[in-house]
Amino acid sequence: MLLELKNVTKDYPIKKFIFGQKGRVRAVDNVSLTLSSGENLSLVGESGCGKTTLARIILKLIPPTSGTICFGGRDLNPLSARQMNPFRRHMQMVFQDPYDSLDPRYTIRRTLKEALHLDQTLVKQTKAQEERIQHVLRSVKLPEMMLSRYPHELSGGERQRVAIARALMMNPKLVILDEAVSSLDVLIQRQIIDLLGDLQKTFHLTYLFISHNLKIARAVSHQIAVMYQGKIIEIAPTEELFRNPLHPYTQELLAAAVDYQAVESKQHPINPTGQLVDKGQGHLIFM
Amino acid sequence: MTKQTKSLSELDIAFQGFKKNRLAVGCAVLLGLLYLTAIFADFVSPYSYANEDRRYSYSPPTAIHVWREGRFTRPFVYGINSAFNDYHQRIYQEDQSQMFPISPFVKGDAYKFFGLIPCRIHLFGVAPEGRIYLWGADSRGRDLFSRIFYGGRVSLSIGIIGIFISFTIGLIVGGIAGYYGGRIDDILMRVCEMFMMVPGFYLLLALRAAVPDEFNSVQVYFAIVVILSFIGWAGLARIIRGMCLSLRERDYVLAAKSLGLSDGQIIARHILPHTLSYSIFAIMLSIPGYILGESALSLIGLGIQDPLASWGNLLADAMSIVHIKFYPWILLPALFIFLTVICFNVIGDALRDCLDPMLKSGKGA
Ligand SMILES: Nc1ncnc2c1ncn2[C@@H]1O[C@H](COP(=O)(O)OP(=O)(O)O)[C@@H](O)[C@H]1O
Ligand SMILES: [Mg+2]
Repeated sequence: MLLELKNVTKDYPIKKFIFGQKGRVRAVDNVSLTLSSGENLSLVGESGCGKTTLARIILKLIPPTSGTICFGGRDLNPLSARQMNPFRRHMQMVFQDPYDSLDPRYTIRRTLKEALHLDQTLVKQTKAQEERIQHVLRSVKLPEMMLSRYPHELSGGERQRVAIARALMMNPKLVILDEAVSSLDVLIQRQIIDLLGDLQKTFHLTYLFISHNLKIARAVSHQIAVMYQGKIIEIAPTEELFRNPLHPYTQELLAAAVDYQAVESKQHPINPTGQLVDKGQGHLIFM
Repeated sequence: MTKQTKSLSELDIAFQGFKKNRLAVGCAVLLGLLYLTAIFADFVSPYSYANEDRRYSYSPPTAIHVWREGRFTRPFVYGINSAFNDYHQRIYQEDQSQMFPISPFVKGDAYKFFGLIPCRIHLFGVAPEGRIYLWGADSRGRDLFSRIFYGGRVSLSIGIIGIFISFTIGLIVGGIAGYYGGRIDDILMRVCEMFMMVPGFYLLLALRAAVPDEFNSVQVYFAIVVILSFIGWAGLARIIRGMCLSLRERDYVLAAKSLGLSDGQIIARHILPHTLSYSIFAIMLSIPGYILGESALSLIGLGIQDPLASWGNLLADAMSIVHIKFYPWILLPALFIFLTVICFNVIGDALRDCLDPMLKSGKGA
C-alpha cells in the first residue's frame, strides 16, 4: 500500500470578528482512502468541497485535526520536519495555479535546482545536477532555453510543465496533481494529460489526481472518489462509476459532464451518521 | 517573439521603467552628487570644518572677479576689510589693493583622505593671506561652503546607517511574525505598537536624555543613529509582516515547503525577497525621516555638537530672525536638507510607480 488515509478530519478555525468567539468549519470530514502503487486515484468534487485541503494534509503541509496518514506503511503524523524530509522526496504536488506556484523571482533553472536540495547524493555535484535538470526538462518536453527564463515569460501550459518537472526532480513515487490542468485551455489540457501518461511510465509514478471534471478524471485514473462537503460519498473503479453511478450527487455530476443544461443544482442531504457501504466490485457508496 | 534578448527579472523591468522618469533620474543624479561631495568633503571644501577666523564673522559670500584692468584674468578674489557702522555692526568691503587668485589643487588644511592617507590638497582655494567664502561665513568666520559638505557627511550618512539598522530589525521581526502568524505574531505586533504609540519626537528626546553626557562626538553620532532606528523599525516591521502574511499563502511557498526547505530558508528565499520591491521605496521614503530627525535634534542642541557640523546644527544659527535678516546665507543648509528630502521622495514615488503594476498583479506581469 503506497498511501493510506484513516478517518482524516480537518477543521479550520474561523474567528468571528466582533466578539472573537471561535467557530470552526469542517473542510475534510472523516476521509479514509487507500492508494496502491501504479493505481491512479481521482478525487472529484465541486470547488470548496475540501480537495485541496486533503491534498495539503497528505503532504503534511497542514496538520489534520484528527486521523492518520500512512505513507509506505509509516505513520507521518508524529514525524518532525526533519524526520519528514526522507518522505518529502517521495511525494510531490503540482499546484492548481501555475501562475502562483513558481517563484516569479527565480529562473526556471533555479527553481528546478532548488527541488534537488534534499538529494544528498547530488549535493555540490553541479554537473550531475545539471544533467538531472536537463533530463527532467526533456521529459516534460520543454526546450533547454527555458532554463534561463523567468516564469512571467512562459505561457500557462509551459509553466505547468515546469511545475511538473519540479515535482519530478527527486524521483517521487506519488504525485498529487491539484486541479493541475483546470486553468489551462482545452487543447493544452489534452497535451498535459498525454504528458502525464508518458511520465507515469518513465518515472513509475502514482497519481492522486484532483479535479472537478469527471471527463478528465476518467482519462487518467483507475479509480474515482467523489467528494462532497468534505466527505467521500462514493468511490469506485473508473468504468464502474461511469456505468453505474449510485449516489444522486455522482449522477448529477455525470449528467453535467454530458450536458450542463440538463442539470439543476440541488442540495444533497448528508446522513450525519452515514458510512461508506460496499456494493461489490470495489464500489462503495456513502449512506 | 522578441524574446531573443536576455531574460529580464521583475526588477530589471522596473529599473527600465524608472529610467524613463526624467525627474527621478535627475534627482538620483543630484543625490549622487550630494553623497559624493559628502564623501570627498575634505577635498572639495577649501577649509576644514574647524578653520575659523573671527575677524570675518558673518562675512558675506565673497565676490569672484574675472575682469581686471580692462581684460580677463583667471578668477580671483580681493582681500576683505571690515569696519563698524553706526549700529556697531560689522560691514565688509573689498580691499582692492590685495588680490588673491583662485587656484585649483592648492595646499591647505591637513586632513586624512578616507581617514587614512594624510593629505593637504584641496580642490580649490586662495593663498593663506586671503579668505574665500563662497557661501558666506558663520559667526566665527568659518566657511559655510566647507561646513555644509562636512555637515552632509553626518546628515546623509545618518539616513543610510539608520535605515540599515531599522530595516534589518524590521525584516527579521516582520518576517517571523508574518510567516508564523498566531501567537508569535500577536506578541511581536503588540511590541511594535508600543513603539509606534509614543509620538516619535518625544521618544527621541527621552532616549536622547538617556545618553550619557560624557560621550564624545563619535559616540553621540552613533547614539543618535541607534535612537532613530529604534523609533523607525516598528512601522517597517508591521508592513513587512502584513506582506509576509499574504505571501506565505502563495503556492510557491507551499511548494518550497513540500520540497523540504526549512522555515528559515523559505523566509529568506521565497518570502522576504518579495517584499523587496516594497522595501526599496519604503527605504527611499523613510530616509528623510532620519535626516530630519538628526537635524531636529542638532538644531535644538541635542545632536551633533560644535565644532563638528551637521545640517541641523548649522541651522541652529538661523533660529534667530535677526540673523536671517542680516545674514540670509546661513539658511543654505536648509536648502540642502530640503533638496535631499525632495530627491528621496521623488525617487521613492517613481520606484513605487514602476514597481506597483507588478505588486498589484502579484503574479509578475
Ligand atoms: N486556510 C483556511 N482557513 C479557513 N477555511 C479554509 C481555509 N482553506 C480552505 N478553507 C475552507 O475549507 C473548505 C474547503 O476548501 P478547499 O480544500 O480549498 O476546497 P477545494 O480545493 O475542493 O475547492 C472551503 O469551504 C474553504 O472555504
Ligand atoms: Mg482547490
